[in-house]
Amino acid sequence: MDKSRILDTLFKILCCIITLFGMIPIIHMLVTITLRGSRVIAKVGIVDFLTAPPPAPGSNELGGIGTAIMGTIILLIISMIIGIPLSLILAILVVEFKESLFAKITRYFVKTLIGIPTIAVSMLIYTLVVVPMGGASAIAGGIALAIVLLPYATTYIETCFESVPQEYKEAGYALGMKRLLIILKIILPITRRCVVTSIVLSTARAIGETSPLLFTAGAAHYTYPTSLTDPVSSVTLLIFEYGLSPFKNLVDVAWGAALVLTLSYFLVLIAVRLGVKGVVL
Amino acid sequence: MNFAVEIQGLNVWIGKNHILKDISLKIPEKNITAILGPSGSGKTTLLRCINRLIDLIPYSKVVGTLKVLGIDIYKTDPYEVRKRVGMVFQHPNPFPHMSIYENVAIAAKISGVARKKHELDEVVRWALEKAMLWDEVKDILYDSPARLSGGQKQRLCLARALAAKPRILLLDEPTSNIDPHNTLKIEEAIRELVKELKMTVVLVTHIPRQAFRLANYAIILNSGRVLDSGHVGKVLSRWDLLE
Repeated sequence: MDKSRILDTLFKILCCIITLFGMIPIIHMLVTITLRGSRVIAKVGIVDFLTAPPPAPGSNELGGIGTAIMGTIILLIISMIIGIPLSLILAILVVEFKESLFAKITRYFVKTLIGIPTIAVSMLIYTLVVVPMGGASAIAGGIALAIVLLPYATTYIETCFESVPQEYKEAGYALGMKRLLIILKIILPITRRCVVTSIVLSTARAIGETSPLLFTAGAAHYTYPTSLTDPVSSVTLLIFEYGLSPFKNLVDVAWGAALVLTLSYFLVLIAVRLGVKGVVL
Repeated sequence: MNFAVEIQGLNVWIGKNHILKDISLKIPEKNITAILGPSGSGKTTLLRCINRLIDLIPYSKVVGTLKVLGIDIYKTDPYEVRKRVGMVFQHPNPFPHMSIYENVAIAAKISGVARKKHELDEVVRWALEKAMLWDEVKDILYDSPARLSGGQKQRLCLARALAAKPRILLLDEPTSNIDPHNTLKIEEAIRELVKELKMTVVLVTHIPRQAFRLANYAIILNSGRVLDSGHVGKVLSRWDLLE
């Protein structure tokens, strides 16, 4: 074997070792969550764990995360209703009117928003929504998540729109299509899979956030909301608060919730990968 | 002789580059006019001025008078101009998310040529026949154009342009990326369009032989200026382009 092939092989081995070394914390986290979480879920039963409210602190019972799952779904829907249409409009504006001053300002605003700590978003919504409404609510939490989702969804969707070759747009214009028709008939249909993936990924990212909900959602872990103005729980908030709890049964519920959250992410990613061919996640 | 396109003192800048310099020419209607010239001479830019597609290029500036079918196109709605002036591009660009049928039908719908299903069916068949593609795609009309060859895709683009029933057809090197068999088919289709439908065709090509085979008139551009224009044989002979 010549020297260059030996060096090549050594380099490959080194790369593999470094990669494995880098993956140790991730593997450790996944194994720990799976072992500790599955033990809790097995003890309670999967249906009960997903539907029952959490246990009383310090009791011998384990309970479930039903309130948190319901709250998460409500927050998800509100944030998507507010955030997705807005992201689509902003992405269209940024791509199709890129030379306009408004588009340039929007692009700068969106990029800046990604860098803002999400706790600041929580404080902003607390001031603008929670205080005037007289308390934390699903609406306030949903708005906070929508703000977190907005820059990610806009940036992802913008990338989708940018990927449409100019030649298709030109062909549309050459037929006498107006800009709105080009967007509706050419850009959106060509990028529909990419746009769906962007929406799913940005929503998944937003829903995994805890800090935007700290001052906004209300962390009502023991009650099911009856209206959008009621405070709600969320899986991430529950993990954050129960994980720090001195009560063992609440810590156990947090481990189970962590496993549910992790599995949900994997399911979403797998669904996106299967449903949207050619997408690199 | 009537003219489909009349250009007077046309100057085009893209950014700081002066692309077309004081162009004045007339393109006769119901004929094929070839625009020839070396790369970068402004052939495509001139073509894109005729349907105002040049407006899409950022920082482009057009000065001069450009009349299409007697109408000053810079004093009218560009979208209406484009409905009357069809265009086929250098690279075949059928819409990938639409079927072969939809690719042709959308042009008829936008231009208002047809709206109802049976009208659209007729126009689609007519356009595909004129583009000499009907026999090859009649059984796969609802399939994606992705399964067509490069030459077939280009003929589909020709059919799409024809479905809008334009009075003028702009062809930007339509055969530069396709095989000789498809080139001959497209040339034959173009000849028939002028003969049967009395369409005005403006063809950008870098192949003098193709211009000679197809066109009645020729315009030679160089560095953004008209070097020569007139009957194709005379123009090409003057510049020894038929050797």
